[in-house]
Amino acid sequence: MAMSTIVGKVAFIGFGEAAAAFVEGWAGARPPLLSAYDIKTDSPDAAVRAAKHADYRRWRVDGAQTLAGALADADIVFSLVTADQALIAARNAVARLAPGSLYFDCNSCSPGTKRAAAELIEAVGGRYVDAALMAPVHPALHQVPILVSGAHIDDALATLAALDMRGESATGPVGHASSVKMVRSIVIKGLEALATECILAGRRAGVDERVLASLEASFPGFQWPERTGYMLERVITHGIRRAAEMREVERTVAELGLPADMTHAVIEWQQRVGGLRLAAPAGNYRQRADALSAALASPTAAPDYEDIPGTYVFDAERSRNGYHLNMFCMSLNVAANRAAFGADAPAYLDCFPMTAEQKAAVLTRNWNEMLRLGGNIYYTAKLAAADGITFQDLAAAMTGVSRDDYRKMMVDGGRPIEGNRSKSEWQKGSEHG
Amino acid sequence: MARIVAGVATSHVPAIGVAIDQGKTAEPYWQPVFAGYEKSKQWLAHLKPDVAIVVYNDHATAFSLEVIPTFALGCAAEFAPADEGWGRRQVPVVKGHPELAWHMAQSLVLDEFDITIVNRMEVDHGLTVPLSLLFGQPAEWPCPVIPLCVNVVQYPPPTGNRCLNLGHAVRRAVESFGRDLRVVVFGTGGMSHQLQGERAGLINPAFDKRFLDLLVHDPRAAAAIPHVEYLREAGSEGIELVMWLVMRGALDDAVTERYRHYHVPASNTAVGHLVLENILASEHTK
Repeated sequence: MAMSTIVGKVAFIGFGEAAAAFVEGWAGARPPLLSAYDIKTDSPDAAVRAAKHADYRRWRVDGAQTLAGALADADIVFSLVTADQALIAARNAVARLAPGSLYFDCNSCSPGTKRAAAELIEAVGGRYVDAALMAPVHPALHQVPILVSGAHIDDALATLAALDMRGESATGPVGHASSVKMVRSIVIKGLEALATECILAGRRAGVDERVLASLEASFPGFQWPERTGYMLERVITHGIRRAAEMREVERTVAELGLPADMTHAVIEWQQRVGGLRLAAPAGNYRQRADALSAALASPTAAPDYEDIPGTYVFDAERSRNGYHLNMFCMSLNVAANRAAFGADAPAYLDCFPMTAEQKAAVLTRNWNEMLRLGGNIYYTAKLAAADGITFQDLAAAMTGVSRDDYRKMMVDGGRPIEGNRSKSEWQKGSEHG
Repeated sequence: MARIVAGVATSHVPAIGVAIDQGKTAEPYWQPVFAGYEKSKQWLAHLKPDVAIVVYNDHATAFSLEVIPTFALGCAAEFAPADEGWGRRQVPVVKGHPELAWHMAQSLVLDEFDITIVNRMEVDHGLTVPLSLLFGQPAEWPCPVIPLCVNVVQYPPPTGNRCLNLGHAVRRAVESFGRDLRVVVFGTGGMSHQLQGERAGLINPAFDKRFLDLLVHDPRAAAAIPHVEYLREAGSEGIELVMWLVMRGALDDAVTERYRHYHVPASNTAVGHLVLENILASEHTK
């Protein structure tokens, strides 16, 4: 293949499963210059950073520390992040995008999100391609079918062909290709959710074999036992990512003016299963279903709210640990106690059997640490009030931004829900499914 | 017979109370918050209810971690505004309605809602801010108030479904009271907001809009929202919205939506407000 005569530098925004699969597929025929940027290398977690650098080494791509570094002089850009990060990635890319470069937005977003991204990219002279990966990247690798739409279909198809990739034309404006993918996902992800619920119920009732045989008779050739095992693995391993994608599907359906009840239920189920953070067991559907069934039944399973980021749910455990810390805070409802605390804080704290850590957190006004140690916000807010700090300024302190920046964020509509639903969205943000 | 004629839902952000108390309601930041209450204030002044049942949560004021009632009913003759750690609000003492409140307590327990009876209690912004929003700044509150406290501080709060059913029981209690009283039920708190942790400041207008629509037209669907969805989608403090379901449950299945207001932000919070009337009642007031 003579790709080097056509293809210059290729950049990946997000170097997760899909990007690695492309590189693996290209093997020796890879483009001469391959760069990548992934937000995981900015993670506060050293292990996460190290794992991403290891990915770069394994696939011999030039891992850049910044998005600008990855995009410099790139002719072709593949955006392969999570659905909720796609628009953010486009927004961050505009400042550094080389003029005329082809920007393949391969993320599973609603048509509306794609149109918004296209506006940003086209405004700085980039050529935006709405691209949709129409099958899992394994085992197809770089030859996974990619549906493209928008104003640059011909260039996009020529470029994909030069990269030995399988572009398919979805003639139409930006949003057309993603509509195909989104609407198709209703069945793909929905079937996974249905099969999971079906087989769990079947196993518990002891009727799974009969049910699968009966389904096989109704839909001959589907290979229900094998497919169910595969679908279980997808939901267990990638449920959270799939839930994020289905939120885009829900948006797509809503943009079309239809109720999205089925999609909504699929989001719940995918999120519930993914949120268990199980390692999918090897073996057939039975082993996987039984492991999932046990995790769902286990009273010691992590609570379902545990993966909400930056949030300390005041549950039984925190309440037990934080009792004296909170009762200290509550005592500040009395003006005389506020005065006594103000006069000699350490001595006042000694009246309460708090842990040394809790006292230190109070004395240093480490607000998030107080929450981690069992403090409740309505109680710690009383300590803040004694300091003359309002709820809003307290929120600014807990989120690590200035009072003015926090106030501006709220006036501008607050912290958006997109990208703030799960810890994986905060820590990863580079995978794609 | 006493009857419930209308329901009011509103956020109870403490900063709203501060803005009212300090005369800041016309400032550009606050004006859009308060503008959305003008019509409902006039509506309520015209309605002249005999009693208001206010469903709210105590914020480490009357209750602490020493005693955590899931549902508690204020049966006292009066309830003083509390010092919540930043001084008392200069608002009138809240007069109760012990006769109806005690009747409700008995009715609820026999109706299998084992409610806690409270004879001495100070009330915080959760109750007084909604009164200020809907009644303004009178020298005395225009009607007696029965506080109905719901725990939403210690996880888990009661489920949305339990709250909706409590509303049904509240209605049966009111309707079995012999005196002719016209009662309004307030559901307070919400909408989406998170006051704590690194995710503080979360606002989700899409969730809020859906919740408003469901509350009006499909309260059973609203009551089916699981806690984790409130926590994730509406923020850790957005779960206060379960209290709106008590109000909704006290109304007819079909209601007239008189007013709706939604504004972001008031401090850390998305402000939501609804005025709902039982259809029979709204025909009376036409």
